[in-house]
Amino acid sequence: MAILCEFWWAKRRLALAAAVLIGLSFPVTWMHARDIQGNAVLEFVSALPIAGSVFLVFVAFNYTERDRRGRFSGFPVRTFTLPVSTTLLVTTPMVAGMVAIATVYLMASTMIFGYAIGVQSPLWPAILLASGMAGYQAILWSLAPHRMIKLVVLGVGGAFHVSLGVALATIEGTWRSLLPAPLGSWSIDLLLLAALTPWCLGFYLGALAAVHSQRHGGMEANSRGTLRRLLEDLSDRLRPRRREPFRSAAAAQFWYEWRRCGCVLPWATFGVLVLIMAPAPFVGEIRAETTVVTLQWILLTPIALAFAVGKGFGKADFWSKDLTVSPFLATRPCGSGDLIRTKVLAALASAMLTWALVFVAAAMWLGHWCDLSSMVKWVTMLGSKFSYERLWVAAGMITVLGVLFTWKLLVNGIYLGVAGERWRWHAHLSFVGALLLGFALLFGMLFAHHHPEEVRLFLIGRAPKLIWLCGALVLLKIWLAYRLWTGAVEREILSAGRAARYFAWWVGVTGCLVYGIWQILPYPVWIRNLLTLMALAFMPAVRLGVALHRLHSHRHA
Amino acid sequence: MNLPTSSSAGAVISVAGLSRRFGTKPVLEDVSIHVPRGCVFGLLGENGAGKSTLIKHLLGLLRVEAGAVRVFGLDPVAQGVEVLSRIGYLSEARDLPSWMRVDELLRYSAAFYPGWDHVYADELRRQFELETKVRVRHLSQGQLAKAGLLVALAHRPELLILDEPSSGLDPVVRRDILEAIIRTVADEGRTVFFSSHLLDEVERVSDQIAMIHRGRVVLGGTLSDIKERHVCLVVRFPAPRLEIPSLENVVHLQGADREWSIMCQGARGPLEASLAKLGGEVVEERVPTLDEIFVAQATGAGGMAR
Repeated sequence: MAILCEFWWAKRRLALAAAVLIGLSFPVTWMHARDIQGNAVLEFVSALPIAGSVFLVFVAFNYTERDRRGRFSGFPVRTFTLPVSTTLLVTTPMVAGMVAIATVYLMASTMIFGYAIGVQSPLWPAILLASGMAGYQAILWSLAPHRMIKLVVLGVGGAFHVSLGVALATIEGTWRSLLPAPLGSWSIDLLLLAALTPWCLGFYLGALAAVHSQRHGGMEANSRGTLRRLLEDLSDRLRPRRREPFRSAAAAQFWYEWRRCGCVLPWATFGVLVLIMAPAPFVGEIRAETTVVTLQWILLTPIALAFAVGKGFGKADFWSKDLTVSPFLATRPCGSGDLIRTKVLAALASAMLTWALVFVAAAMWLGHWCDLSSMVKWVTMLGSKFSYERLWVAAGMITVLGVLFTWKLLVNGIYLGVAGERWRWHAHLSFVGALLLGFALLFGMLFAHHHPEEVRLFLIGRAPKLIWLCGALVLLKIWLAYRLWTGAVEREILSAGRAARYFAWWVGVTGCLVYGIWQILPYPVWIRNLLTLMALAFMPAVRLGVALHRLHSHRHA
Repeated sequence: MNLPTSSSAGAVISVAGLSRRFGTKPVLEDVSIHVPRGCVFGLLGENGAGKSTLIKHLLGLLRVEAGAVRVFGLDPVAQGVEVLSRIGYLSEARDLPSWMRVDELLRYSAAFYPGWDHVYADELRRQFELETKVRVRHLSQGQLAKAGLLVALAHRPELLILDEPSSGLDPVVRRDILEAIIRTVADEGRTVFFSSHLLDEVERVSDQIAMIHRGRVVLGGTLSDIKERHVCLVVRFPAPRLEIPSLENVVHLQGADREWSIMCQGARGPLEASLAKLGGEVVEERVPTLDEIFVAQATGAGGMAR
């Protein structure tokens, strides 16, 4: 009970957030129940709060703490000296987690789908989630010293559970209709329960053995064991040890940034590309339609990953939970402006390498295993409509835009990461989450009540006002950026030369974007003007200006 | 702003009237310290006294709220790069990047200091028995301290700032290596500023000390000056005293009945006068140890006990 109380006290905010999410979603879905019923898009949007609350429960039951020397996160070492058995230490959070996830899902689905919309939600996702929770905790505790393996196993395990869920959802209707009434409604749940119980038992016993071993010094041995050495050898081969002296302090700092933050995105992209492309040699030629769809996903991968990686990229150390700049880094004899500049350059290198990787991998994949007929048809059609020269310019611009947008997603979080304030960080993440959810709800409602053509006409009708609003925002941004950057130069955070060089880079890229837009899309005028304003707002200036001041204030609190 | 006076001109470190609060809690109050070039300066204080906060001000990691801080005559916040490039710093937290290997740590650190002495760095590494290919996260506490010390020393800084350098080091390393290094640095005309709560270490190594207690410097000067300014007395009264006797210039007082132990600071005259009024007489007198002075100053009025 004491363990549960302590756990509740530490995670009460997350529990509250999950409750608020469900509580707020219920009246909204209840009010729009008629619109939602039978509308697949809106049903999907209604399920988002359930997914959000389930996600929050998973975050809450990440029952780990850093070991005494801060090397890795594992089962809380401080509990090892409590006068209770290992069985109790492991059973309590694991059972609590399984019960919590099943309860939250059932509550959320019953309230939102059952009461509000009037659609009966199945029981089997609760069983699947509970099993997922057991596996999640077992992996977190058992593979604590092996960070990369842990991430891979978590990814594979998560993908397996999601795939199983999708498969069950697909066959559910057919399955139920094939069996007589009472059996049909319970059989999937019972079957899943029977199938997953041994899994859960296995997870539990594995976690118990791992924590028992760690409680008696196994972690130390494990962290220095054969597996660890093999992984470090592999890591050395993939990221060779630095054996040459650095040319300058800037080069050394770039290496530091690259090793801690910059290389994350290329590696993550590489991992996802391998997952997407690895089955290709075994399935024969990929169909034309599948090729187009998969290529879209491949091209979206760096952007989607950069959005997630960008949240950690801004921190002094991507892998650290601590947002403060360590005294070691803070006492390097280089200015705060130089530290930010290095981060920005590492982000650019990271984005460029990631896209190079994507293009090389996509070219190999398309060339060897795909039916290109649909793509050729598209290119021919577009070429005849807009001319091939324009198409090449557009392709080039989209590529550059892809790199720049990826870079922008990476550097956008620097101003939060270097501020050293956890509350800002959490507030930002909550804001982004709420914004995404808000947009999903807004568009869901918009398209539920109106035909897409109506929405399009509505937006075109308001375009002139929208342009004025965008114009005002762009002017505000430029003014703010000017104030922040001149302020940084005045406070000697950054030299005037460095500020001028970034300004030149900003003008150069923005100018190219504007030129490209005017070349490719001269008409309709309102779209051209809107895109021009978006191009003016594209390059990060305000956030980087804030980052300069924040890091300086954090380093000299 | 309270700027350092002309008497502090030429000092490597000049702190004048420095005060700092964290929220409503005062951490440093009107601290003034001047450290001349070539001096080994020991900052003494119990845990939470404000030693690390003072050091963070010297490094420019904290902005001055009240008072002034100058290192090499420069403002460590406004001229951070110039100041930090001349300082070797060993953090109490030993927060070296855990993912680096020892040789990578040395190469990375070397890039920031043009005066990095590779031969000296290698010599220290051998002396400290640090393997090049070991990752920092696999080093023991003692090895971490040695690695931190190596990074702080290898560029032969003009000012070496060591925050609790003994923490994690075994007594042999502490005595034979750390103290030898500190003396060598000082003999080369460079300055060492170190904080510690280990009195014997401070006593053995320091030329000057400052004792900080609850954010205030309660004592400062050379060791001999400090010892000369203090005296331990045993006084006897003609009759048992039920109350704590009221005596002048007393830092610490303890006893019961007729016999009381006193630590006196400064001139003896006022003490003897007040003692004579109460009919007391000195029966024993001796020079206190630094340990006794520290305890007396740290406990202060609270140390007036029966």
